Amino acid sequence: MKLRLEWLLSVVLAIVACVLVVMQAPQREPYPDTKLAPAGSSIEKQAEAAARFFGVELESWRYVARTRSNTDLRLAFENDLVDPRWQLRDSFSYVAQFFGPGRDRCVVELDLHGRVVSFDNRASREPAEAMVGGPSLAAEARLIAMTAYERIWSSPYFSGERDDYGFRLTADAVLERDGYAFEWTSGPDRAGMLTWKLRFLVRDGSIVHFQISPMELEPLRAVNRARDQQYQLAFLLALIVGLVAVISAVVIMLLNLMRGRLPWRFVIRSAVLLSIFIVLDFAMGERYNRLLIALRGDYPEIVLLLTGAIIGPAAALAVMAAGRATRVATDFRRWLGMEDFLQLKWNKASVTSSFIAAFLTACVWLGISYAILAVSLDSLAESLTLASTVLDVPPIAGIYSLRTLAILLIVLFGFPVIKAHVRNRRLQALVAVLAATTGCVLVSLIEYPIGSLLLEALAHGLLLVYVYHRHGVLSAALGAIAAPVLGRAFVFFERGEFEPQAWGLGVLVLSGVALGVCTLLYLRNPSREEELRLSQEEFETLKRESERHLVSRREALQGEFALAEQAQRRMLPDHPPRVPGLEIASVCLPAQQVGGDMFDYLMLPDGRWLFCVADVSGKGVSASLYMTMLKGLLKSVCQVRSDLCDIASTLNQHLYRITGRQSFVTVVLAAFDSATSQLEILRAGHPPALHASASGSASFIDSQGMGLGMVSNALFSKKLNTVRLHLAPGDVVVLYSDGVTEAMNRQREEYGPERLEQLIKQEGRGNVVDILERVLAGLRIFQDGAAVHDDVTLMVLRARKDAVAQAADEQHLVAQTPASFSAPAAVAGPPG
Amino acid sequence: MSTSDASAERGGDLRDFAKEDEALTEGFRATEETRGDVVLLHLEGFLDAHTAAEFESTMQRQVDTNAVRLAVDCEKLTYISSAGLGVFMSFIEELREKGGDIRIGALLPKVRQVFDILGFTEIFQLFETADEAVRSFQEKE
Repeated sequence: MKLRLEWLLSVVLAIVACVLVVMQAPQREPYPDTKLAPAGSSIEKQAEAAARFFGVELESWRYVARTRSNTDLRLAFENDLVDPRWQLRDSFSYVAQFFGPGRDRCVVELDLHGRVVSFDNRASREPAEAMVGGPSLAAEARLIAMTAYERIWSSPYFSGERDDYGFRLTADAVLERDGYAFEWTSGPDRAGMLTWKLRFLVRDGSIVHFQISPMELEPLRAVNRARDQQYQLAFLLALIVGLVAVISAVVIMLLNLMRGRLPWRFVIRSAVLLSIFIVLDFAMGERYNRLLIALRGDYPEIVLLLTGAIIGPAAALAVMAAGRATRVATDFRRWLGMEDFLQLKWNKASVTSSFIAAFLTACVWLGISYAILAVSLDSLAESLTLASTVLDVPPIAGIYSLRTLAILLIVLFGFPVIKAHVRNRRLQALVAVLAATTGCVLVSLIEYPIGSLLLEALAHGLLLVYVYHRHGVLSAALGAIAAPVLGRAFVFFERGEFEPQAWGLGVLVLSGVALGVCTLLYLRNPSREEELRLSQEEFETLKRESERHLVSRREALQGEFALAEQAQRRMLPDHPPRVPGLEIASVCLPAQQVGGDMFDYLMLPDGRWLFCVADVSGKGVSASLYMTMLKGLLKSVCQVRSDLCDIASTLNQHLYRITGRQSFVTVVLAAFDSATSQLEILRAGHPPALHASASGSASFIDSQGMGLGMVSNALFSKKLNTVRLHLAPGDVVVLYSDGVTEAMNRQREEYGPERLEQLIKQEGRGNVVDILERVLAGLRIFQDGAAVHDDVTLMVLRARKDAVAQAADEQHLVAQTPASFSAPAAVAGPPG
Repeated sequence: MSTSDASAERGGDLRDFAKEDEALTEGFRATEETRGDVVLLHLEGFLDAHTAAEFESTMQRQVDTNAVRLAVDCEKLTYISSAGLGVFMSFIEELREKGGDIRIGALLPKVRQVFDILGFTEIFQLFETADEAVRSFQEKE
């Protein structure tokens, strides 16, 4: 509940933050009084607008070339300036080249009438030609400016400084007469676009500026071909690895989705997180980058080196420890629906899936460390880049190697996770390296200008999702919020002003606080999963206990069943009644301890004896319960009704209501009138009774009748009739359940009514108990040890030779349970 | 089915056990086939107390997917016990309330006899073939 609340809160806050940031972003305007050239106008138009303002005619602003490799940018312009007021007319060419992925090495060449002045902010401390002496950038810039504009302005002075995105040259050319000044700023922005700003200051205080940004860039081959090829190859390789990784991750994810192993809510929730982050990133990314670059600052290189080497890994370890200590990962995983996904046993696709697992791990570690590590990493990279300049090695090599190293370290920290998924040690290493490379590619892509914004956001989002999923809300909150927040904070402290965007920052901070508080609250909740985590010992103990419990439970159940069995057996009459003119013997053998078969003898109100064999559909406990009910029903019905059809209909009425068609009962009812020796038989869904006359013929007594409880009484009664027959002395009637006729042998042949008929024909003389036992013996021989699947119930009625009633001696026969039947038998019969 | 195949190779005593097992648990199969808005269930083997549960889940699946017109092909159904009949019984009312029915085709004589004894012929429409059972639904449309 709390977790949900927490998420809801932070998601809402994050959305509010995004909306605020996005809404206020267009209002960003560093120069409030500026009269801008019409938006969307071309370079030429903007320049003309500015020139018009000054009364300067801009004859040409020629774009000569813009060329670009993966890391370098070269821009060349030719400019003709005419100022009719001072009859000045001049032209110069300007070539700027920016090197390195950060575009932080810059070479500018100014060509004034064939006089070339070059400026290199890195390699060349000695300015060419006119640049003499000054070690500082500002001095260099001033020299350049003075040289370049000597002929244009009488007393110009320039200043140069390094800026967020490289360097900035400012020419404060104060015109004594009119009091104009202008500031000229140029340099690449984060995405590698050249921003060119001219800011004119007029004496009355108003400011105009025009900005040429961003400039379109196009690929190039001309500059530094050898280095280009080197970079392109590295880039291509990295791109291929990255694409393979991403595509296979997506494919595996989709496959798992289709197989139903990965819940859709994972995708949906991840998408939500991702989109939030993308919006955040677009809004905040620039500031974040500014932070990175600013922190790189003007510190001595050794400091940067140490910072990178110590703080980076230390910060990563700290974040890792925090993630472990909080252990909210599981909850998040559950929230995301990833739980099952990660717990899958990967057998067939173990290589790919391991790779994915490791890839995720790498991303995760990258993600949590990114915000903190990247700063020091970049510092380190910076120093290496500097070193590489001195060593004349491509600067990118330093960054690449460093990143690879760092991510390898990161993956090694996450190695336990890889181990959990990959058994083979070599594979583990391979997976780690692959994952590291992939992570490296993703990070490197961020450094690249081509469409990098989208890629960066995507990478950030992926990282974030997996940070969440592996290391919990807290570390994810750190990663997600720290970067933009720190960026914003930096801007705040640097400028000392609270920009409109800072409102977004406030909300973000707030959401972070809310998230943190909720997380802490949640962590204090004692019912957490880790408390359920058991040590091996505890597990063993618990296992033993549960086994013991199971055994005792089983024993208890066995006891219960024994009691039920006894109870049910007691429900069967233990001996047949003394019925004048009739010998009776019955047996009921349940296939399981309790069963659904029963038999009963009842005296009807009209003086007839009712003999009943019933079979409840199904077997076992449920059948036995219905059977018990049937017994009671029968007993009560037979106290008031004598007509067999009435009895059956009443039973049906009750059973139809009670069983709800989940069960039904078949029954055969036989009512014997001692006075007339007449037997009336009703069959309700039950196998027909067998009648064997003393003369040796036998037949089944068929009649109409559906099972009890299947249909309502209206239909049931319509399809019901009885058969009456006169029993001659020696006639035998056998009532039985389908357990007899459907008993099977090992060849799965049924015993069948024919065999029963045959047997009764042959053996239908003598004592009813003998007949009963012969039938059971015949059945046993037929079955030949095959498993018994159904209850067997048999009732044998035999008309006495002397139809006149005689007081029969009562004798209890406790039947021997036939050997093949493990279930107990209740056989009873009068003396023969 | 696969266990019986595997057990056949093991031979010896195991084979007997396997056979018995098969009789208990493996002897029944219900396959579904959709014909228009009628679902035709092909039953095969022994439908007794042990296998009734499987048939019941098959039937339940139909009810759950709102397939109410069920035709049952019993051509290969060699045995049915009261528990098996109970499954038919327990679904018929619900299906009829939903405007559907269970119609049974191609009963083997022995199985048909069980239907007769129990009076199921009064409740269920029986047909000579499964196709007729399916067609009977469509004719009434």
